[in-house]
Amino acid sequence: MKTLLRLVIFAVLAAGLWLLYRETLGVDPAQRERVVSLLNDLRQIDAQWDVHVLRSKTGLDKNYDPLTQPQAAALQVLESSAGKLSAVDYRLSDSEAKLKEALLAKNDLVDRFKAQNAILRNSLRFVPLAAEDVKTKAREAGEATPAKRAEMAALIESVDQVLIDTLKLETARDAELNSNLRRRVGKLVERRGDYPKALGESFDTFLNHVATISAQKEREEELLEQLGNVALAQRIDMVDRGYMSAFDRMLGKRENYRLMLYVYAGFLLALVAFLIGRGSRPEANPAA
Amino acid sequence: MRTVIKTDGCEMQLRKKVMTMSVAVAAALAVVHPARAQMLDEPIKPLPQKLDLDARKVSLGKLLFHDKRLSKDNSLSCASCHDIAKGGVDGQQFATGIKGQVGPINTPTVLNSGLNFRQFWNGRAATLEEQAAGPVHNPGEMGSNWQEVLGKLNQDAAFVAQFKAVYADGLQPRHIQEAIATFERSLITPSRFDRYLLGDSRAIDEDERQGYQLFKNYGCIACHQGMGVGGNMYQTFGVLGNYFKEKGKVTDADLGRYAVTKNEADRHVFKVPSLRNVELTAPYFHDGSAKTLDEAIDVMFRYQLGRTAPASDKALIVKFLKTLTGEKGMQ
Repeated sequence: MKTLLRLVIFAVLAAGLWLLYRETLGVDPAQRERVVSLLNDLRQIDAQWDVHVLRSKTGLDKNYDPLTQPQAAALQVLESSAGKLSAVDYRLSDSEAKLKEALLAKNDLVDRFKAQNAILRNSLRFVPLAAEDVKTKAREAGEATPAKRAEMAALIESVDQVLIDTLKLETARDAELNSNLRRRVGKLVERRGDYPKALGESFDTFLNHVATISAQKEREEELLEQLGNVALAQRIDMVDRGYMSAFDRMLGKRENYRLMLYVYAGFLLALVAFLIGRGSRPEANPAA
Repeated sequence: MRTVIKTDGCEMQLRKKVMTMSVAVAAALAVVHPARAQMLDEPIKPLPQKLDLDARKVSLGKLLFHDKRLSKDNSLSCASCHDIAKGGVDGQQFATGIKGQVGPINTPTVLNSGLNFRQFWNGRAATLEEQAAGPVHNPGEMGSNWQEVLGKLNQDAAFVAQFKAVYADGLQPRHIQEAIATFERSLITPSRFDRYLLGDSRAIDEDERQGYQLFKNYGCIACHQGMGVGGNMYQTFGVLGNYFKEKGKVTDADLGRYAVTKNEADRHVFKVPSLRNVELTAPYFHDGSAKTLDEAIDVMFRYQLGRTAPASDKALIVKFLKTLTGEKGMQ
């Protein structure tokens, strides 16, 4: 019975030691470095996106690979960071989810921007040629009669004005200019039936591209605004701050446990010394 | 001892000779070592000169890619639809699955698929690993599942040993996916046009060069650019004309990315396909509706570019597109 009691006391003391020791191992300093590195990667991806959106918009980037590469990298970072933050502190799971949401939203907007930008730049490049084609055909049609010449001259003037307004859209961010352009296009479309048949296809092609530019310019403004509103950088900072304070809390907790471990180990050593001392004390001589 | 040339005229002549010789040597070097010549700054970029892939995974992936045990009735492998010798496609309008089931969509090429930013026509898989699991589980394609596949592969002791040599923890679905994806990433096809981009001006002829210029001038380059000559963005099919209205019956496959996102803006939006090896991958588009390159170009001009072009220009564009065919025999 006495032996069993000794064994139980020994097991309880050893378990206490093991528990305290385990708590001091709870924080891996290398993990902090990994998370910091992941968050820095995300910051870089975010910055690259912003730079290459602008470069693509202005035609400085000749292809979309520089805009696409960060997308793949972002998804990889997202995958490799999954659950790492909330593993440190469950309270970070909300920030982690919001970061993921912002990253996916920006990724999606970048995809939409690429498609929109390709269409806009293509039509902007082609529309002067399309206008020239309409004007050439209008001049040819105007040679029929003096009355027709006046009508075609007016058409040419309208086409020129529409072209100027359309090209202005490339550099200007002006909703009013766009709505004026639409009005002018509307008037041209209304009169389409009056123009010679020979003009038909060129006229439709020109107006199709003008309408496309007008719509895509509006879409571009929406997309750029939405891209600006995706608070990815803020989300990264929020996670960074949350993670660091959670990590510091864990470090503090670890230090407390370490101190407790030292005290406990000291107590155990003292206990062992006491027991050894008691065991080696010479027994009192019963004959004395 | 240094020889001093005193007369200015002589010095000038010597300088001229040295310069002429330098230029000649540089030109000769450029011809002998085209790769060292000036790389062109074009919207299309050359393929990487070197791939950083694990050769053991590539070999294992190659075996799996050609392994019919991945299908329920052991009748189809990945290579059945993605025949590498045929440009990574099956040459059919629609893919054929087990028991002769005809699928809803055209088989996209597996060649250079590692360059694609997403996989499948509608981009529903983010990676090749994710893509590899799709056809295995699709009842209309291979109609199987990992449990069945692992059951069959585990009976092959030689294969299991080979697998364990690469993946210590043995046969696992994620390892199968990774091995197949690694093999697929190795399928890049450097072409004459890549040599041209790397500075070998004689790699393409004058017609092909003109075709490339027209490809840029007409705006095809707006979507088909980058290293993959496409494959790095989505685009609506029917930007400047309603392709689907004129086509008639709209199928689920025609919905494109909408099927993934359910966002109305994604209706008829598809991943822009790579034009590398386009000469070999007929019929074209997700619906396999264009039987020839000429037909495909006509459709692109009408619905994507919203403009017309003379037949001679289109013929030159076709000539350029053929320079994108991989040079090394596809095995």
